[in-house]
Amino acid sequence: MITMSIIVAFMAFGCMNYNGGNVGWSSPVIKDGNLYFATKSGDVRAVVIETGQTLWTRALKGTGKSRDKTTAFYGDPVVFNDNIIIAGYNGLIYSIDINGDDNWVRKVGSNNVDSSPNIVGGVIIAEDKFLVGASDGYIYAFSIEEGILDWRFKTGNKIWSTPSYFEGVVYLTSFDNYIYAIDLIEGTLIWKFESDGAIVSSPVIIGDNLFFGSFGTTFYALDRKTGNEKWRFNDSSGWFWANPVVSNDIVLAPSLDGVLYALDQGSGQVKWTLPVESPIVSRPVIIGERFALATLDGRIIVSDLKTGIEVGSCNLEKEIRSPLVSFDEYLIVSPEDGSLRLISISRGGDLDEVWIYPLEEDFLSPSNKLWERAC
Amino acid sequence: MGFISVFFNVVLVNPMINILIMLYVFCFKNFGVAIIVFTFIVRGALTPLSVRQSKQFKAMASLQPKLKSLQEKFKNDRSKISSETMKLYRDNGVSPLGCLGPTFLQMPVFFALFWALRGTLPSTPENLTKLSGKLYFWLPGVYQAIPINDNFLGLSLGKITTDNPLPYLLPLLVGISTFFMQKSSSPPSSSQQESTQRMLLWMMPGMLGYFTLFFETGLALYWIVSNVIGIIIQGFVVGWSPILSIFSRSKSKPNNEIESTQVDTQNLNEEENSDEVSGNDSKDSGRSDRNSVKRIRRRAQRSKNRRDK
Repeated sequence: MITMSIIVAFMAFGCMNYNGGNVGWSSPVIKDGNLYFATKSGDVRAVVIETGQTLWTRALKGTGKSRDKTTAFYGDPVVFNDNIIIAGYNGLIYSIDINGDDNWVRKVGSNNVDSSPNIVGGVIIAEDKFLVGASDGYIYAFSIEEGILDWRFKTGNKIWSTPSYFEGVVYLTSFDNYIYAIDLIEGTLIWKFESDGAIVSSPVIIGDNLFFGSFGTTFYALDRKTGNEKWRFNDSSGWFWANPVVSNDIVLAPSLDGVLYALDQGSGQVKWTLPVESPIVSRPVIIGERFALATLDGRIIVSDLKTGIEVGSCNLEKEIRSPLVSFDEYLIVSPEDGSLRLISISRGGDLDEVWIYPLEEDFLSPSNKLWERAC
Repeated sequence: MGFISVFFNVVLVNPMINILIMLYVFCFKNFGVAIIVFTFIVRGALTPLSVRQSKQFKAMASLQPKLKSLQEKFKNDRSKISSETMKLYRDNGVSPLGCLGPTFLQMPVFFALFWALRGTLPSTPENLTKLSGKLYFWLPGVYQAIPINDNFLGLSLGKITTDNPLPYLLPLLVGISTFFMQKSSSPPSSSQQESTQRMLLWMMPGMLGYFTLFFETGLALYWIVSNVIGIIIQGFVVGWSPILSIFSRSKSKPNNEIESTQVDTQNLNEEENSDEVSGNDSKDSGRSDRNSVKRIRRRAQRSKNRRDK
């Protein structure tokens, strides 16, 4: 009885503290001086970059039994012909025009309105189609004009990454350990390559090379035309989750072991490493001769691209999983407290928060306190 | 608090996560089977404690008639009752702490299991990002085993129970198995405690079944298998009578039941008094247990004979 009482109390406590953990980590997209992004409360907003003022807010709901529920967003929105397209974790793809008016909603999976596979990756636009991968293992290609399903291609496990597109070929990674090259028009397989673990990072294409990392703790460079391996790097002790970033001859490969590996694009040799002692889930960004990366424990670090030497940092003390976005000398960060922060980077590497969204005049943070500047 | 949390994770939760994943690899990548095997291992490791606890409960049960007579005899002197009770326990080699000790030792293991199962079956992308740091890099195949295929008999073990087909089946099984587990391991109690125990006997399984709805299906599977193993252990150590009594009681008429209980209680008191007068207490607790079981059987038979007449 005592055992039972303690266990029941423990489980009740667990229930009270359990919120499913779905908040999403979508990043903003920039168009004509405005930011378009999905919030952690499940709506899409347009904000003026310069001031942080809200232009409009559009709540996105589910279908069927979930028609009153919002969803989390993990993939970044894309802007196409003055339309914003974004995929929700609920398996729905939403199109909103640039003024915030609803266009259409499409779903992946079966025709059952109450059930859809989750979507974690983002949407890409490829010629006259938009494509998205889903947790049922399919990549779906819809025609942009009508939003009609054109084709779908099945992989062996969940797809959590955003597909990549280059010259008529869609490159796609899956939890089944494979990376696929698929013909955009026909939706047929061109080649596939088996890695040593599940793949959640999106492939990055530079010239004839294709880069990605796996859960097998190996980072790969393939020939994008043939799928042949060019080199591999396997000195990491953690999964490669975030998308790699390539600049000139350097490939930045962030790992969950808390180290950023800078690899030579041609050989895969380590040029330098940057240990940050916290997993890197967020994709880094290149800003001129420097780069910025965010650690899971909430630090933003700006370093020199050639040497990896840190030139500036700021600790938000909030978990960061969403990819970083940059323009000019600014950085946009979306930590897990639900805020959006515009941070300027000075020539010397100092970080300064220009504004924190939502602004004071909009409303207060979920904890009912004003957001505090961290840098 | 931070240190305790780190210690708890490093010493209990993380090893359990890695063992679960290794089992998943060895069990042909079937996580349902891995959870079942894991439950057997955990219950196996805790068997010495469970058996000891069951023996203590059994011994306490055998002393219940004597305790009742003590309470009757010294009903106006509470301190005397407690000192005599402790003396009775001591003389018969029974330690009330021996009943509770194993329970408290099992608690951290259960809590760690709770977090290990939830950590191994992340239901959201956020939770999966946390799993990497809990895996042992040096353990072969662990990194490559993720993501875990959580499908088991058509159920997704990583999903919240309500998201699965037949959403109420597992909570129902959790409730039923918990009820039988409790029934088989209920400690002896005084008449005042009995009503509380009866209430808890029904309330706890209901609450546990209800809470199961909010957690990953894998936890419900662990709980059901663990209960079944626990019931079997109890059955072999204490006997099957507590479980069988549920079915036999449901067959008999309520009036007869009340009547027989009254008669049995009366007889018990008579015999307890005679036992006390004769001073025939055995120092061998094992023999004492056996004797008391025999006495209870004889009494039940006598009361049955009386009713038949």
